Amino acid sequence: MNKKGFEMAFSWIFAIIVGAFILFLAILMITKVSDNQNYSNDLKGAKEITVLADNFELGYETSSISTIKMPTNSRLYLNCDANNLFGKQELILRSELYDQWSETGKGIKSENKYFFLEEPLESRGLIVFSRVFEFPFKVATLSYFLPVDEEYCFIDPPSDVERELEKNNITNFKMEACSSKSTKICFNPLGGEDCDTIVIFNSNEGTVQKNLEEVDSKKVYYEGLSLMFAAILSDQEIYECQLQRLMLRTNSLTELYLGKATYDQGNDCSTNQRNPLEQLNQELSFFEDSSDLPNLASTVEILESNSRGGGCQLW
Amino acid sequence: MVKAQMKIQQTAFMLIALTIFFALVGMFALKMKMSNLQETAENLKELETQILLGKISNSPEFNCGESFGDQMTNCIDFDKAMVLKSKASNYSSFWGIENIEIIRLNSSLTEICTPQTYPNCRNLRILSDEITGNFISTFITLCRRDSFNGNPYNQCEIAKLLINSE
Repeated sequence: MNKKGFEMAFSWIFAIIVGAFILFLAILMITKVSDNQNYSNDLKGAKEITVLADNFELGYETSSISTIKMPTNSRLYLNCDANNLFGKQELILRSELYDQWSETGKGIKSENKYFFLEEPLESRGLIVFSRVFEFPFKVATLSYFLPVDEEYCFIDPPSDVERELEKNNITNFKMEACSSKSTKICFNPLGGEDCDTIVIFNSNEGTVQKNLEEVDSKKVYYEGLSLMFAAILSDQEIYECQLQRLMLRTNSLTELYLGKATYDQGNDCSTNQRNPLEQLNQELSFFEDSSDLPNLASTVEILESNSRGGGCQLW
Repeated sequence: MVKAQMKIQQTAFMLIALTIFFALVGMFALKMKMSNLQETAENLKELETQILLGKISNSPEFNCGESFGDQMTNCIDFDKAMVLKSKASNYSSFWGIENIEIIRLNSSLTEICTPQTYPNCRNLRILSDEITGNFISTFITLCRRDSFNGNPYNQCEIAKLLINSE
């Protein structure tokens, strides 16, 4: 009787131990598969945003607004690399599931897109505001990503900026009746204002200074409204890196236009843009950061005024 | 003792069989999941290519801008595209597509566009000289500058834009 009891107990113990081991392996596998699933969902989400961004590419229009609803609370991160011919950006998405954020993995890389955001951009919905960047010819469409629930208060904007804000009618952008939680963007402040960001605006060019409470808060330079919005609505590192990428593309485009000028010349259609284009091409090779933008302004102005002068247009 | 060993062996075989069964079920489920993922990736790639096809003519590397008068929808500057071809290696991964081809439709010409044959040619293959795999197409306006007796004029015609993705 005792012997039989021992025999039963041993087989049960054996089955329980092996069973527990199998169960442990199964749970481990499910966890891994679930992590992989979250990772692939994040990758899919980032890819969907990047694919949607092709729709933001502007033609005639100078700006556009789109809204993206996310399935869960999500965080967006942007890696930017300004090396090689055009540099590249990598959009990384992390989603929240049961109060836990998915691991940061690989994102979706693209060479022809220029996203601007403040990391980490956390929201269940995104507003994508797109604008064309011209220098002086069209270089690219810039896309600024904003969380739907964040308010930006523009204090004393110049008429150009005010017109642009009214035209796009973004609900997050306010010019009056701002809430106390809003991010306050002050234009040419006289001092004493409660500001989160200071914009010095002087006929479409100037500087943007963010994180004023930090000791090493730095200014970034901009030319035109597209870069001004980029500087206001993104981190300084992202802005500087994307600006470098934009200048790489501008440089490539100057070479394309020089080639087109040669074809035009062969068709008895000469242009006075060749010298300023060569000048811009040379100046761009020394471009390091936004503080070099004012050095390019005079050449860009010459190109712009020449293009308004009639004759054979290059762009 | 022998009976007990037999019992253990029976249990062990049973557990091994169960493990193999669940492992197979798990692998099957995983394979299904992976094939779904691959399908999603392929669908997204296809969607991306389709959107890109509609938008690539807005890209400053191709777009006519105001070079030929007022702005035109889906207008590609033939001269710019030809210059782009000479710099194709720079743009190999820029749009994430394999190749871009422009075909002039109302032309009796048959030649491939090269610096020697341009503009008296029919097909301009930009990123590579080879066209392989599946491609999608749309109609565009193709413009370039020409001259007659020393007077320049704009020449626009209908053409087909083809892109094929990786």
